[in-house]
Amino acid sequence: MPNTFTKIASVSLSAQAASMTFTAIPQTYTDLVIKWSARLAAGGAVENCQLKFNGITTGYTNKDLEYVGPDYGVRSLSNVGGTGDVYSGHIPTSGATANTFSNNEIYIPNYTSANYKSISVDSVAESNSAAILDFALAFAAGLLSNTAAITSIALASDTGYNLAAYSTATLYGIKNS
Amino acid sequence: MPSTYEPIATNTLGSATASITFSSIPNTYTDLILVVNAKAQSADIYPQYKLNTSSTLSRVYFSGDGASASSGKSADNYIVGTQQVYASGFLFNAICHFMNYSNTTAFKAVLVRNNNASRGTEALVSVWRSTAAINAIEYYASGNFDVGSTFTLYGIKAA
Repeated sequence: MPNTFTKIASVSLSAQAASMTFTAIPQTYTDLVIKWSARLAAGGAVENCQLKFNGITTGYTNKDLEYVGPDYGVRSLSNVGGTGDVYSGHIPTSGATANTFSNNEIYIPNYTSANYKSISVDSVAESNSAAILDFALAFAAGLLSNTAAITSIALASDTGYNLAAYSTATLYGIKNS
Repeated sequence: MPSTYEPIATNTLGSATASITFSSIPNTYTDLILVVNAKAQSADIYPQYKLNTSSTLSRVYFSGDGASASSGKSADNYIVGTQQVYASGFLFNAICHFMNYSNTTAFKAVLVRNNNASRGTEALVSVWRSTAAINAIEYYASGNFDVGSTFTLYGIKAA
């Protein structure tokens, strides 16, 4: 039986960049998984990152459950980062402890279907610091209200800061048969 | 490298149904993962599950609805979580991880992530208080899952 958790593509930044992007995603899998680790090249506190499918800029919604601390504590928010893209994880900024990167996973079931696309996000950004908003743990449910198959994915910060060098993202495909 | 993430069975509904059962699950893997992407046929429904036809499950959960966070625990509760499958679209997905499912000396832990972007998100852990190996999983609800809903069971090997 085949191994059906297959790497499609990987991005590793050698220099800071505005985004990490996967294009021409093959339509031969059932689900997609993105595992990514990142840091921002600017900013002062942990920030949320967003993703866009197919360059689409409308029709996204999300609800999260997060511990961003210590000031915010545990809370749940709607439409983190707005509805022009969808929340994809928290990451440390240049103001966080040096060399700390986030760990995030995004699961996208049935990405080629003609239904709206739901996603699952798990995210941690820990900086071994008690500074304000320097760490985060988050889960999120996301939705793109669009029936087009997903052919490209772009990850970027919500604030427009560049992703730092050594940020990485890997896209995997999963087949159900 | 061994093949470690294998589809055991998948079910894409061609007609609405209230129950999906994976039976005769082989005991040759280490863990199982059930991936669900679903819509309810009419009324919104809470997913439930049974393992080997048993529902002796307890759970602890951590949930958010977009306005507030909550947590809790309950015993003998076979409802998978606090998130509903909506009839308004394919908003619901779930990823359920059954750890060491074929172990016959320990109770079974199940890690679950439930998502519905119109209702909320949550993480929970269930414990099935049985030392029997899991050989069947029934995922069901009080109403029907709609046509097009997908349920796939994967096997993961540690080696």
